[in-house]
Amino acid sequence: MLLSELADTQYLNAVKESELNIEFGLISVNVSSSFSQVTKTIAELYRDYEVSVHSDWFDFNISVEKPSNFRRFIRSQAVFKLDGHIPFKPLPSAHAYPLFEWGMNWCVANFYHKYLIFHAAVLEKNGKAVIFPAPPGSGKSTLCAYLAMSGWRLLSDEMAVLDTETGKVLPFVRPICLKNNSISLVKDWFPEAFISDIATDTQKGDVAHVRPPADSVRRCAESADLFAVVFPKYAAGSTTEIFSMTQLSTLNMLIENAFNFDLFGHEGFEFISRKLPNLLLLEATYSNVDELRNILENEVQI
Amino acid sequence: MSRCMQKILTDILTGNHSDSLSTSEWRDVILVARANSLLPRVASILLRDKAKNFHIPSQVHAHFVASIRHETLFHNQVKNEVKFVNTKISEALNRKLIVLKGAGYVVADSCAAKGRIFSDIDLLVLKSDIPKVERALHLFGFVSDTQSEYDQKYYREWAHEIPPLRHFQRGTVLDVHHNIIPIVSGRAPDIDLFISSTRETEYGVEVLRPAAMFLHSAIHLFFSEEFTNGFRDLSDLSLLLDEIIDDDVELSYLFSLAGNTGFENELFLAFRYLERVFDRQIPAHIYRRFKQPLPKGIRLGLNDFIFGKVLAANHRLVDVTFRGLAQWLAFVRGHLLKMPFNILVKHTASKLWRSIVKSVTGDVENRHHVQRKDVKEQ
Repeated sequence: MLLSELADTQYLNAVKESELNIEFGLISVNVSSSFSQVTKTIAELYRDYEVSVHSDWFDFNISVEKPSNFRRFIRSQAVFKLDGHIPFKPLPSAHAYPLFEWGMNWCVANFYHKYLIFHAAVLEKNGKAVIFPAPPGSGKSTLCAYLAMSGWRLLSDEMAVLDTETGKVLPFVRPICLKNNSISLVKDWFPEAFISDIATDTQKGDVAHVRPPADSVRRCAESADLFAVVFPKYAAGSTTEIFSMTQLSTLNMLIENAFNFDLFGHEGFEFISRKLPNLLLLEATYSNVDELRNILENEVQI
Repeated sequence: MSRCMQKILTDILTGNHSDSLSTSEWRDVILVARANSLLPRVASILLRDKAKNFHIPSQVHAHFVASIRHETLFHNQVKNEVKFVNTKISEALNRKLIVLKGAGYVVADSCAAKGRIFSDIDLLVLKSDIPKVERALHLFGFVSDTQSEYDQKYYREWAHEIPPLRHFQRGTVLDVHHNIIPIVSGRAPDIDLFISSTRETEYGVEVLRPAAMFLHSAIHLFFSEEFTNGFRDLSDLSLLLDEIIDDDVELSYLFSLAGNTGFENELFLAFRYLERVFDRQIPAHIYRRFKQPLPKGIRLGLNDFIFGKVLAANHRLVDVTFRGLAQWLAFVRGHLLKMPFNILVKHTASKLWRSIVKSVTGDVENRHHVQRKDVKEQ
C-alpha cells in the first residue's frame, strides 16, 4: 500500500501509535512524531512510498518528539529518538523535520554496516549508475535534484550503498536535502516539484527537502551497475570542464567520503581496487548544470 | 511477550537456544540486545555457532553482520592501542603492564571478549610506578580530561585510579589503576594478591588469570552504583565462568583469592544472580566452598530485590516491576560501599552544586554523544 492510499485518519493514527513503517527497499523504518509539522511533511514527501501498518518487522524505529524535561516550557525543542534512546542533543522545534531526516541518516551510517556506504549522490540512466561523492559546497544536492527531475533515476541524494558481494549499487531513495540558494534555484527550474517548508538557520543554513520522483521511489528495490565516479565541483561563473581522475586519487577521495570503509578492512579495500579499473573516473568543474548534464548523458549513452 | 524476551536472550547468551524465532521476536531481540550493549555478542554467538543450524532471516542477518564488523574493527583497535601503550610505558614500569576488564578479555582472547564493546582501556600498575607512567603517557599524547580541581583531588586522595587520560587525536581513553576498588571504601585489597594472579599474553602485557578475572568482574559489578549495562556484565560473568567451571585448580584458586582479599560476599552474589537472573546452573559444590556463612534473611532478601531487578535486561520490552526503586536502592548501596558516610555527603554536595551551576549556566561543553562519525555536512 502506498502512503497516499492511506486515509488521513488512518495515517495520523498509525504515525501516532508508532505503527507506520516506511519501506525503502534497503530497510524498513518505523516512524512517529508528536509534531504535526513533521507528520504533515512526511505525508507529503513520502507520498509515493510503500508503507505497512502493524508489520512484524522494522530495521529502525525512530521518532521526533518534544523533550520531557522542563526545558520544553522555556524554548520549544525537538529530540530525535532511536528506539526511545536519545543519541544526540535536541534542536529548536523549528528544525524538527530536518532532525527527522538527519536522524534517519545517522541510523544507517552508524548501524547499517552490511553494505559499504559512501557519502555521495547516486543517479542512474540507461542502466548505468554514476556516483557523485562530494564535500559540502560542491553543489552535489543541487546537481542531484536537477538530474533526478530531468529523466535520471534517483538512487540516493546522500548515500552510495555498495553491495560488496554483487558489486552493485543499491538505492536508498529519500527526499533530497537542499540548502540555502539552491532551494530557490530548484523552485525556479521545477515549479511543479514539491518542496517542504524551509527550516531556517540550521547548522547547515536554510534547508528544505524535495519530494523524490515517483518513478525512482517505485524502483527503490532495483539495484544498478556502477558505471562512473564523478566528483562535481561547482564554481560560480566557470565554464564546464571535465578532467579524468587517476584510480589512486579516486580511491583517496572515496575513503575521505566513506561512512564505514574502516569497518570493511581488507574486504573493502579489495572491493574498491577491483572495481575502479572498470569505471569512468572524472572530476567536473561547472557552473551550468545543464551543460554538465549533457556531457554526462553522452557518457551514459548505450 | 515481555518476560519472554529476557528468557530468549539468556538462552542465546548461554548457548541454550533451540527454537526458531518469529520475525517480530527477532526484531525485539535486536532492540533489546542493542539497548543492553549485547548485539555484537548475540550476533557473534548466533553467526559463529554453526552447529545449531539456526535459521536467521536475511534482514536480521544484516544487523548481525553489521555489529560483527563493528566488533572486529574495535578489537583490532584495542589490540593495537594496548601494544602502542605498552611500548611507550614498559620502560617506566617495575613489572609488566596488566590489562583489566574488557580490554583484558580481548588481549587474553577470553570467551568474554566475544562481542564485547567498551569505552576505555583499564590498566593496572604498581602505585609507585604511577608518576612515571603518567609522565610517559603525557609525552605520547594522552591528556587528562578533567580540569576541575575537585575531580583531581577526588581521584588523587580517594580513588583507586588517576583521572582518565584521553589521546588527543585518537580519542582512546585509558584508566590507569593502582587498585581495583576505591581506597576510600576501606575494602581495597592488598593488590599484590591480584598482581601475583596474572598470566602472559601474546601482546607483551599480562592479564589476570581466569579465576582472578572472574573475581574482579564480580567485585566490579557488585561495587557499582549504576547498572545500565548490568545484564551485559552478568553475561560477561557467565562467559568467564565457562572458563573455570570445569577446572578444579582455578576454582580452588578463585575461592582462596576471594577469601584472602575479603570478597567472598561479592563472589556469592555473582553465583546467586547468574543462577537467578541468567538461568545458569550452579553446582551445589560451589556453594559449599565458601568459608564465611552465606548471607540469608533480610539482607539476602534486599539483595534479591535489588539485583533481581537491576541486573535484568533494561528495555521497555522487558517488564520489571519496581525497577526504578531497585535502581535507586542500588545507587545508594553502591555509593555507601565505596565511601564512608561523611565523605559521601561531602562528595554528593559538591556534585550537586556543580550540577545546579550547570543547569543554570547551561552545558558549556555541549558534547555530542555520537558513537561513530556524525552524519556529514552535505
